[in-house]
Amino acid sequence: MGIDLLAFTGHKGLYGPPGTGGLVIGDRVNVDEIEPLMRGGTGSRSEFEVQPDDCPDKFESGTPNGTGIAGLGAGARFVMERGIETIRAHEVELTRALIDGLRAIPGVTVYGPLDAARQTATVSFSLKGHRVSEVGLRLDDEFDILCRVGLHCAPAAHRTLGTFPEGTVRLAASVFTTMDDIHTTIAAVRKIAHP
Amino acid sequence: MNEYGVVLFHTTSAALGAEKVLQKSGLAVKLIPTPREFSSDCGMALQFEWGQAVRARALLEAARVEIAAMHPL
Repeated sequence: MGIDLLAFTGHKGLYGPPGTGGLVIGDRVNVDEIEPLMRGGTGSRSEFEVQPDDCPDKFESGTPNGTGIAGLGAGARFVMERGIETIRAHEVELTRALIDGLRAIPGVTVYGPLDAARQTATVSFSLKGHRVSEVGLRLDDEFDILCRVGLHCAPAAHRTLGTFPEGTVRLAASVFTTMDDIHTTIAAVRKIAHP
Repeated sequence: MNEYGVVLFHTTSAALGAEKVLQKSGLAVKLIPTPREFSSDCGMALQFEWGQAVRARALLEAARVEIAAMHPL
């Protein structure tokens, strides 16, 4: 893909625990030219006072989150066993149903490309006449549906969408989400919109 | 008289701390998404009985839980 440096988080599509992630350094990168942002013990080369220059130790300052990384490894293995294509196909199917179902509810605005094939399995929407915080609370309280409301720590993205500062209600489907869940969610939003 | 009020916080850890403090003193509290009319903050706020506002404020002050604001709902 021509990527030199790829940073990723472990707790999203890789199904790892929070607090994990990684940086993939491509062959074209001259690691000698990059200094670590933080220095500290690595648990290796104990005879030296300074950070080792060898990779990956050079960029792995401090005590690694071993249990978390083991969890991330299990998550990554799960993804490989299930198959990225299979997971993606499942997500696209659910996302398409969710977008279509939400858009059919009067008062609902769904944001993004509105094309499941061109987006991840997160779907943002707002409901006319209702604060996003109210929708989120009611989805949780009355229907046991968890979502995240507001600006999602991405104020610039919401400015681009024109949804700043109110934000949106964001739902996300995973490999564990079923079509039944999607139908239940659409029915719940419909109930909140039109009691 | 408003039935409920809400306490806003700068941090999630303060919200969790306040929940613990107020629950311990027998107040009926509930963590909710921060109502948008008060803040764009993404985090949690603590809903409580507005009639207990003075007591809640005193309890949180005594426990040194920093709050951002307190509003009737």
